[in-house]
Amino acid sequence: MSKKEVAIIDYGMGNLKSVQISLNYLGVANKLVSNPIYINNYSHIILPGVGSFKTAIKNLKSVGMFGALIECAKKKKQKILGICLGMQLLFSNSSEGGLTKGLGIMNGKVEKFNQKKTKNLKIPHVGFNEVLFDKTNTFFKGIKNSSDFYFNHSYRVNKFEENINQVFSSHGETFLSGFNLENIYGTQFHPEKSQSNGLLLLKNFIR
Amino acid sequence: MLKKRIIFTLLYCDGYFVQSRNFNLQKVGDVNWLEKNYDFKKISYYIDELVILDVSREEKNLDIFLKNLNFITKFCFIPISVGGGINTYDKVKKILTNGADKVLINSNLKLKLLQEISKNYGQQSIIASVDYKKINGKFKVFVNNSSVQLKTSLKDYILKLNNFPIGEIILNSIEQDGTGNGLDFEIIKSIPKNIKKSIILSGGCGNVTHLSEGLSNKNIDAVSTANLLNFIGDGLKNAREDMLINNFKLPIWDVKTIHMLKNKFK
Repeated sequence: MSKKEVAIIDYGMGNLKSVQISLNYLGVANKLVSNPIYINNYSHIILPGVGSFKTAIKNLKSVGMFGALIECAKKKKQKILGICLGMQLLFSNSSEGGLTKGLGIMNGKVEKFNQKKTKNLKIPHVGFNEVLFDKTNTFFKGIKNSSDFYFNHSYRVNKFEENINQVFSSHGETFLSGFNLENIYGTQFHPEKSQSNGLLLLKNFIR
Repeated sequence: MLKKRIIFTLLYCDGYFVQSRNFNLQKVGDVNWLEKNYDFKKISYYIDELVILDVSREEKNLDIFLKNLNFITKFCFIPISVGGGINTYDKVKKILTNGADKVLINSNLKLKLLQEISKNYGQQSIIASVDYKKINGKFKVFVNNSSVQLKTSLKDYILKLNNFPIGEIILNSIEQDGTGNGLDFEIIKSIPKNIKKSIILSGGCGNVTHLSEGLSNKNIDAVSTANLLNFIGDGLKNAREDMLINNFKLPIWDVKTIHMLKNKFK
């Protein structure tokens, strides 16, 4: 699988077009994939998504992607990137719309922003915010520390396991805005909506 | 730290892009005109967000509108919101799966519809759009292209929206709309305290001073301008660069890098 080709998982959760626009711009072959039987044909998998965690899991199950994605994560032959809700889905569970089990590829819980700490701030957390990372983080290679990325969410990953090359942002509290462990990548922000910073990050993921 | 946003709003009417003044529309040009005179992909590198509103007064054709939307946004790497006549969940679904990240809803801010949308796409995908005008010294809310006045006061209306499943509120001054005379700052005093939703101010923004004034206000999260004519050419580029030089906390990226990354893997 030396050829780079990205599967964008299509499970009826929001705007897949902008991910596709970004990949086309970078000149990477890509396809919207809704049938899990084709998923092994791709070197990279992007799990996008906006909206409710519960609906997303229901949709992933109904198209047969739930099990397929867990398999791909285990085999470690492909790189997987979860964007926004897509990143949250990779974790153990979420309290959004009643406790719902996630893909469980990563350990951690998705919960609403801490109400006390964000009481003077706007929720959802909307707009460009700074992302902080260690100099050694290869996922963010070539990107200036505390660069701006576009966020739009009310829930964030909490109580996650350390040592996942975690990156952070701040909105009343410090929260996990991205990570990379082996073949699994996640961003709470939208790289496809973050101008040059996001394109660089997508380039790093594809590379 | 969360940065403030400059939003550019394009008004689309029956196949043309238009300039609005006090909600009266003036045709400027079609999609090809826009591409030729604006090189829209370059405009998008100097704004934080794009809103496209279908303000067609006759019957709206969503399919043609979305086709035009996709044509304009094929090189945009920023969030895109779409509004205009959105009154059903099916329309929202079609818009959010065809290139838009958020929908603007104005005349149909009904709790049931908002719940239906937010249940699937989340409240962050909805911007509540509020058109207002001062009547006998009081701010009043208008719907249906500013033709129908609601009984409620603007303040009560905003308080109601604050509890609805929406992500942001955009306040459009009908009187300042398209004038280029500056934003309506009096309205800020009418925004109740402790509003949990991001506030976008719109109407009257015609130059960099107006943008700066708007974004300097701590109660304002974003400023929107729909002034096609004032910001033609390098208008937005110059405005942004000017504000960054003056230490405005706007998001920073590198336009050269965007150009450099084109076809990187080809």
